[in-house]
Amino acid sequence: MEVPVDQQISAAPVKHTHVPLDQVLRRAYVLLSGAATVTTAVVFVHGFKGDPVETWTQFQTIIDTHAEEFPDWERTDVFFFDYDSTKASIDDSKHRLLEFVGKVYPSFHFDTEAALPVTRTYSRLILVGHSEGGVVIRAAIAFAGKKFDSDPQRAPILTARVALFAPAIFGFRPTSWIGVVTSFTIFQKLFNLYVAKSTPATELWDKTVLEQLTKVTEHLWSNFPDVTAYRAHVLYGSDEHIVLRSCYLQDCEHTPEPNKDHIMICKPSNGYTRPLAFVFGDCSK
Amino acid sequence: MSAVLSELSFNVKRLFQHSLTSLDRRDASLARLELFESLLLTNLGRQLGEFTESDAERLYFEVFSPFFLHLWPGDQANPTATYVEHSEESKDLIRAFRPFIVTIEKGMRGEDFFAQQIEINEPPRLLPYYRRVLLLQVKMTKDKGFHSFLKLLRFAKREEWDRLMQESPRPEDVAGAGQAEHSSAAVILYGFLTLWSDWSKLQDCLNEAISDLQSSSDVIRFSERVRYIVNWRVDLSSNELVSRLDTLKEQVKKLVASEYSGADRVRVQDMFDRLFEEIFGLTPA
Repeated sequence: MEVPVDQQISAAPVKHTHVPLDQVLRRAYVLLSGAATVTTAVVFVHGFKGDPVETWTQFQTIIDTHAEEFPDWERTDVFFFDYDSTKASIDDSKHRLLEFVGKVYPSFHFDTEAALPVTRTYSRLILVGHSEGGVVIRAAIAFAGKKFDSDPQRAPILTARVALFAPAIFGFRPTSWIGVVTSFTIFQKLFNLYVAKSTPATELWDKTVLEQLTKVTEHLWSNFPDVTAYRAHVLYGSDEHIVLRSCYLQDCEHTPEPNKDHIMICKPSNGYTRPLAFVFGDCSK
Repeated sequence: MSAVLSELSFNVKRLFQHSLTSLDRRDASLARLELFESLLLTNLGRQLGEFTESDAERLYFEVFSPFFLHLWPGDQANPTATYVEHSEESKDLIRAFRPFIVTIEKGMRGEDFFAQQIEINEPPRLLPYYRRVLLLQVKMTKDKGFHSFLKLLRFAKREEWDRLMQESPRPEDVAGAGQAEHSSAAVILYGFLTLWSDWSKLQDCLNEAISDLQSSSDVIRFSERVRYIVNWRVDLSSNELVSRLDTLKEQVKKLVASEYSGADRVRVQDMFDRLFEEIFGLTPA
């Protein structure tokens, strides 16, 4: 159930202000920093059946209540992106995300300017995804990267730090032997077998997309290792039982968080502040 | 420091510590093999220009030099000796890396870690492929489930291996065994599928390099060198190891085929035979 954002931030010192961005993208919103200098834009992308409010509820208040401990958040505007995670294809969602990011980073597009009481020019972009949101982010980056391969103009999204909570980049945990084997290997023949076996057509489609995405991103990274967006920071919980726990070759895989499952891994609290540091932090293993 | 160097550097320091401090003799032995493999890849990276000479020298000084001293029997390290006195540990290395005996002995004498270079005329063209190989190797050494599998594959006594192979894991147990440090059939199957997958990625990368660089003599030598460096994992000179790998191929084939019937089952079995042959069959001894 959706919790009204205004109510959530009222309990905390008002450092970020909630502003809807429906004019830019339906159901998107931003928490605008009240700091004099704002350098960073963070864009949150929820996962399958997730929600731009509910998935990130805890983040919305804790960035203010823990600002002293994690001062990076003070100089940051926090955007919450929405897409139809159950019906839209990854392909459509990635275009939607690219368009949204293009409207806020590095400076506001006129739609965004019209919706907000401030103007900004950011020097840093961070993309944060949970579960399927991680796949959408990587697909957007791979798309921008392929264009950059042939066009020297590097898209701003390629400068992003990418922080992923329990990303579904290798799909969901299988329950059949052909599913297990297919989740490890990349043979077209096996895919065909898997498809013949699995009822929902989307299962195959998604798996093919994921394999292709892995290949493209690893290939792009090997040619342009200085592009930060190709190398994601990845955090899983030790109790992850929904998605396959794995990373791309170049990724920075952080030590799994004990006693966190697929849902709770991205829910910071007073006793679990690691997500706040993880979004900004370096590759600490 | 580049992301590639940072990844390598972090990993070799971790392996070195592990080779010294692990209480499990099999763990320490595996760490030594992985560490020597890392030295060979460091040398290749240095030759290709991925790392500067001083970056590589720092690693030699901090990690590889003390590593080689520890290979002398007992406390008899004597780098000035004309002949190297081998320990069980150094003999293990020689058995796994027979083509690199000169590097091992020179290393133990503290002479020149950067030995046995190959002839490369245009190093920069090989860099993207080198990066992928290196990160694949780092991934293999960091994967706990795969590490547990290799330990069993190489060092488990026949009774232990046979006992484990009597277990009947579920598909989801295998899919979720990536962090497992215990001995079980699920871990063995996880590791085998990881090996299969990583070997196919390695093969793809080298084939792509050969095709992109039009079978130049550089890329042929590079590809051959990479295979010699990583091949110890599927050491075909050991009858026991070959027999264990064959058992696993049969096991995977049987498990997947059990989900099919009639002509489909026969087709699945044929397909697996071909896929295993494609990936493991071309590995030079």
